[in-house]
Amino acid sequence: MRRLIGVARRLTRAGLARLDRAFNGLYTARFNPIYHSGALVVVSLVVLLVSGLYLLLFYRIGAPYASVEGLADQAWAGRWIRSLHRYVSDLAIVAALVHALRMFAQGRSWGPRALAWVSGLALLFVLYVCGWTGYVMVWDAQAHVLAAEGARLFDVLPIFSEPIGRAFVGDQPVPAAFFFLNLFAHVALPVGVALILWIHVSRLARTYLLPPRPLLWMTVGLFTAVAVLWPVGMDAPADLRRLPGVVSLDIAYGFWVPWARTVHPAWVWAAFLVVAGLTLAVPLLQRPRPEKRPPPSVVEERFCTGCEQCYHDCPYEAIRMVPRTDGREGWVARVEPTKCVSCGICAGSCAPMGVGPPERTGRDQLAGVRDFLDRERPGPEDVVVVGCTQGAAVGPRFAGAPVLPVSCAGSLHTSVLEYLVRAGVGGVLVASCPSRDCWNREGVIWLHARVNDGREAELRSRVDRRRVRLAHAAEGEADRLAAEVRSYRAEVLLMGGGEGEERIEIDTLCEVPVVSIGEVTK
Amino acid sequence: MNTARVIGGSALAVLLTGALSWTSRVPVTFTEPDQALLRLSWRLTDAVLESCRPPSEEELAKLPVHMRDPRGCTGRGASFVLRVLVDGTEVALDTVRAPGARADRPLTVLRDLPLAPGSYDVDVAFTAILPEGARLSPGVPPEVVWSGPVRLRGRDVALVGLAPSGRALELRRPGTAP
Ligand code: HEM
Ligand code: SF4
Ligand code: SF4
Repeated sequence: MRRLIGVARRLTRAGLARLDRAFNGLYTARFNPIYHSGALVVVSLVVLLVSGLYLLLFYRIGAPYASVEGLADQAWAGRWIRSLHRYVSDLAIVAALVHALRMFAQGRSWGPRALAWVSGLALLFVLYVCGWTGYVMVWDAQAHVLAAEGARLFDVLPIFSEPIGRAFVGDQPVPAAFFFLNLFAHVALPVGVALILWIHVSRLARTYLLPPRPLLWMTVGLFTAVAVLWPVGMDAPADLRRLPGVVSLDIAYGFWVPWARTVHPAWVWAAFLVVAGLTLAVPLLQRPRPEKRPPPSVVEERFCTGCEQCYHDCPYEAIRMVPRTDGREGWVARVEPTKCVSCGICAGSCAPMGVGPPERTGRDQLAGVRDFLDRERPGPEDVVVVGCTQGAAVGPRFAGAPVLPVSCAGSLHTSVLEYLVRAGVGGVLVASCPSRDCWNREGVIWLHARVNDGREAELRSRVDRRRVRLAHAAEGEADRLAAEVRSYRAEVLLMGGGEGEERIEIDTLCEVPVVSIGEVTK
Repeated sequence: MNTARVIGGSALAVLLTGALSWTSRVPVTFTEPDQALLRLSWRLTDAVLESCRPPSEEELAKLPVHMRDPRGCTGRGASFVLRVLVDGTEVALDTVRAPGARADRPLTVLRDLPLAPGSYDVDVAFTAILPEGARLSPGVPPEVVWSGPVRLRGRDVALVGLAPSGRALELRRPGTAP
């Protein structure tokens, strides 16, 4: 099973790499909607909430079909708001699936991320049920199919002593209580969605809930335009005394119904249980074996000055500041292993190189770069590509540009860049994933801040900035990265070779805050 | 941003939004005009089988005062046999048991029998299984039946249900409102 999941992951990753490349080409990596799929679900939820509140004003449980028909007849608002509500409910499902596939492809499901994974599945399920109840509210031909099929499924379970399907055989009008319950579920479930979303992102620092404004407004605008220009009409009302003929089905919600109607409900439950079981088991199936599992970060207390930078930078809120117990004044960082995903970003935060996953701290990186220089011996006109192992730099070789791999560009300690430049290489090109594609959420943001904006552990001012270049390339964009490397190499040739120093001293000082956050959060 | 990219990006965005909106109303044929249904749906309450064996004096004496019933009757939900003939051919023969852990919930029947459109002679019988010495609770008929012609057009559902009297089955004509 692990192997199967591994193959599925590789296929998904390859497929997404192609899609990313195409979308980056059209929309740039900043506005690539696939990178923002999780945030687009949040946008959808907000639009659904606002448009849903309007629709609720007109819905009547005593006359469900007629009241929705009345909405569809309102030329000025009801018709397009109803259409927008419907179209965006599909966007929510599709965007959530893309977001989930992305997390799956990147293996972001196990360990401390398992909570986000499992709650994500719960979100998707509740979202789905909410949409289902929404379609039943209309009480048209599709509602008839969905309600009858739902009843058929539940009637094989030993839950109800009487088949609920009898409510939909047409010998009695469907009771208003049913529409009341359905409406109640449709309105109450979003509260559940909000709660689960809160759990979903509870382990993340600085949750990124909304996409960039242009993408947000483009999405809302486009869906509104389609809703205005191509509103949904009304299907025939539900007629329980006739078999449903041709029905306008929402594929996102009803994709399985045509199949389900042809088989015994036990098969449908079996399929549901298999899909639910498999997706719920992904955190276990994707988790590497213990010997291969990246270990959590550790703090080397004798180096830690209590500067709090790692505490601020950790994207998973896995670091706390605690009072020192080694006889020195102040605070020291402490990693909570159960929250740490081993992204290594803290290793790049710490000027004194006192924190990071074992063998990936700043000190280890410096030792690695010395080995790298001994091994590769790049010349003064060569460019060294420091590449994130998840991105485009992994695998390909670039002429005259040896690759130094790092587990995440955000875990890169700037002293590595300094060391390379001062060792006399022509230039260092750091190839990261596009910012929103970072597997560790904030690696690229912190990398930029450290190199360009003086964020600890910053690239020291004595380093010639012309000899350091930051580039982004998604996994499928190796050719674009190669072009960047070539063009940078040409620039390096123009500016002349690098000058090496004999003895390179890296300073490990950092600023300790006057008022510690540890103090504030004590 | 070059023009080709803007045009390509806008076109794809419009296309994707349009496609997604289309998926919210894809015409799907659920049943063909050459399909129809005979549906049986009813609910029988209080169909309890009573077996009575008057207890001896000693047996009675052992029971608490409030439980002393000289008739010695016990009740459990009755089981019925459902039999359906279409043009003389048996299309359903089932035993329907009272649901619930103590078999004390109302008996319900919900059965869909697909038929092609056309005219049929249908016989439906719902007959209690009465073990020796047992009798049905008063007021519950030991058998409810319906026989008659059924004409089905494409996608019609002919519904056989319990008549308001509760003592016979009846046909609600296809397409007629309750
Ligand atoms: C259905 C509604 C969903 C919404 C609104 C949603 C939204 C989000 C948001 C806003 C984030 C934070 C992104 C960031 O700040 O970097 C996130 C993270 C995450 N989501 Fe979802 N999500 C949904 C469904 C799912 C599903 C179905 C899955 C997978 C089964 C999933 C898996 C994850 C994981 C694993 C993370 C954490 C990423 C990390 O640890 O780096 N989500 N989600
Ligand atoms: S970043 Fe600052 S607080 Fe964190 S381990 Fe390093 S010195 Fe300590
Ligand atoms: S490796 Fe460091 S930054 Fe990453 S989750 Fe662990 S403690 Fe946080």
